[in-house]
Amino acid sequence: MTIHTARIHTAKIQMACLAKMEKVIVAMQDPDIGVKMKYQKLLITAIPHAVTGTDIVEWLLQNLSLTEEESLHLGDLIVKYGYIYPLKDPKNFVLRADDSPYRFQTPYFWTSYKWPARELDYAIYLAKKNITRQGDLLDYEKDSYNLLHKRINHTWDFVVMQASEQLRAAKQRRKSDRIVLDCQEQAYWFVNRPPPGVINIMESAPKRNNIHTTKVKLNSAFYKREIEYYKKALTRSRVKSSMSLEGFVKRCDQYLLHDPIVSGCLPCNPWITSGTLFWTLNADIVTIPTRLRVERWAFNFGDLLHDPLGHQQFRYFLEREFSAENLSFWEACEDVQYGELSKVEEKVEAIFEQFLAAGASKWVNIDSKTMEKTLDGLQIPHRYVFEDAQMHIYMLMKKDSYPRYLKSDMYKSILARSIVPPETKKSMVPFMRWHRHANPGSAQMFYPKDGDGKGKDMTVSQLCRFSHPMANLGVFTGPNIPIHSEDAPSWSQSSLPSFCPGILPAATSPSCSCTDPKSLPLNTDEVSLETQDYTNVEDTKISENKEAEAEEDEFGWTTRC
Amino acid sequence: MPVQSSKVADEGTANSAKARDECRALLDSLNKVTGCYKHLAIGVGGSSDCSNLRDELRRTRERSQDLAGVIRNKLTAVLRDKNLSREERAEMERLWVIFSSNLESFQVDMCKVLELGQGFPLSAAEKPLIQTGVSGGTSEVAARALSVQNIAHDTSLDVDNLDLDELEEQIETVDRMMENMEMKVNVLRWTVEAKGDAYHSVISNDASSVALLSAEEEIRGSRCCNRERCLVSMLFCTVALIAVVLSVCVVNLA
Repeated sequence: MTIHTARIHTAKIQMACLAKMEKVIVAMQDPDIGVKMKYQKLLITAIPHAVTGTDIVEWLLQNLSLTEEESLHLGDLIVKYGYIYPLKDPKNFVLRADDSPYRFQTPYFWTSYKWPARELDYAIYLAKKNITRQGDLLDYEKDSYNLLHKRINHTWDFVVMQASEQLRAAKQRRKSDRIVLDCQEQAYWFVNRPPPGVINIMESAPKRNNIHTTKVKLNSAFYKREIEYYKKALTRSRVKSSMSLEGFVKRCDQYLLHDPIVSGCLPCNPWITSGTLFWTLNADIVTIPTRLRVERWAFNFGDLLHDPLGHQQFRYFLEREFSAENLSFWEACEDVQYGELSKVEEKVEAIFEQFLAAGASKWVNIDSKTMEKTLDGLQIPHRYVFEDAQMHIYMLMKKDSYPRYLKSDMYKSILARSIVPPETKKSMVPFMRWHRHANPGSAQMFYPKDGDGKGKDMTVSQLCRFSHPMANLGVFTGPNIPIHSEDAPSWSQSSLPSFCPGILPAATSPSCSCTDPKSLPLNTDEVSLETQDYTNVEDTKISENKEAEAEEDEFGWTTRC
Repeated sequence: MPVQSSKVADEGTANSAKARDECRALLDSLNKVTGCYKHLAIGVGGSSDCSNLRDELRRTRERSQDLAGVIRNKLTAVLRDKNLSREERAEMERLWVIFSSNLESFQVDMCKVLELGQGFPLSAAEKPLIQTGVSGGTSEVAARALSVQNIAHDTSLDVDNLDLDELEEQIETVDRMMENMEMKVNVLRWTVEAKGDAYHSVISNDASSVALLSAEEEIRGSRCCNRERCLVSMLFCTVALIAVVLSVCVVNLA
């Protein structure tokens, strides 16, 4: 055990919560407004300064203006950190809001990070306990004792000497004090060396580099460094916050509707409900993408390239225009950049031969300066040799092919083909409790399969009497209308005006409106009457369909609300 | 401590034996003082804190310093002697380790007392002491530490301010002492082997420990109250039996 003089004297950071708890404890001692103290009655003696759990909670409630839950929690924390220890159940450091007695811990034994409990002290404590109980320690204590005996064997004489000395010293005190001292020490070691299974409050996360812990010498070297740093900082290019904020706002506006958390996602939020339809619809390669996704391709080139479907479509477009080698080159460069290190060399070679060599099969058009630079860099192939060339080609595609693609028929047709999945709505009328079970049969019927245009008409007509047929059985009245794209199946549109109670005619136009709360209050009265009928009808339908096995259909359509 | 091995003719060894025993005796007393100091330190800030306690702490601390100084000089002198035999050296190193551990504990306690003393100034009314339930006096412990019968407390001194400044100084002194020791004597701690319990008397079956045991049990609830009662009743029965046996003997004799 080395002498840690330096360590003891540098100020260690005390956890801020400990200082606050100590303030609370001191405030509790105030003779006027402090906690009421009672006597703990033992067989022979009565020991003063015992507090009941209810008193503590009440005091916290009144003096710190907390709610009851908060004061109970705070009191519990104070107990767990060892500032108050229980008398009746010394192994369980929990604050009970009844008349179980507690007592305050002496400041010497307060939890501290500046003076953490030392192994030597623990050894002395265990030795004392060993002597008084003649070897009857708890299991974990026995283990610790043996471990310590092995570890600090060289000072074991000291340990035993101190232990016996402390016991002899304690004998000089009167009985009640001895009991209190024993309890205090036991509580201290319970907090600082908790038995297995109890949370160790002294555990802290990895220490962050706090400016207070590292002593800085304010000498000339330090100031020189500071000067250098600030000189460099001055030369950094800065953007005016008005500009960057504008850009930020623009971006937010643009992507607002695309953010599933902010704008909700159609048909339903898979992170909240258990329907994974959203992910299925937005899978990497689908025949019919969603409208939002296709619109996003028009935002910028990066979005198009990074979306697998968009990438594929762009490639088809370029093939039609006979300029697909640009894209291939770009892809190959990306592969080098992000691929395996061992394969970098051969990939670079392959790219050179395929794209850059004179007379290559897929020759890309790079300006001479970049070409020279790249060819020079090829001497030492590494991941980023093609960075300039790649950037050049990327810009070329962005400025040339990309706008043309957006104006092309291909893009327009896929935009027209894209669907807007209908939203499943929450029930607006609270007293209506719809079944949460899925009706897999109906879902299958309603949803257009890939390539399959219409659903089955006959079943649709049966359930058409309810609100929107696309919606789940759990949905009915609300003014919220599912969004339709122009080429939604015709049956749904036809049923819409006639059978949807409470939906205003204006709302039938396929406009993007997820929620239309304005229309709600106008309709609830009419709605409630009609829904009564629907409930009954639907119930029977549900019970009928329930017989069908509750298998998940292909879209994983399950519960809705 | 009886002086051993005086029959040995060699004066050197006799001297070293004497030195060894002296060191042991001094270490024992240092150990006693450090233990008592720690015991007193536990009371700082609690309900038994008062100027008497602070005074006792101060005196214990001073005694400890003196002892530490004496032991250090002796031990350093012995250990720097090149002509020490191997067993002697091992023994002295063991004492050295005990001494340095003592000093360490003492220093930590001093620092804690300083901090607590600053945190709980006795004179200030706005910071009341923590009601810890300890109500008795600590003068017996201090008397034990100072090896005197009674302690006379000097209440005229302004305990707080004097005490804390001195305390800081003394912490520095102890610091320097320990550094000095490390510099002068190179003791490899991990090579020292503890002698074990043979050297020191261990409290095993004292009545006091039984009292402590029963005190602990008392706290554990009514179940133990029954145990107390059992003990008491058993005692009573044995006493009664003895009385009966005695009377029978008397009757027989008569």
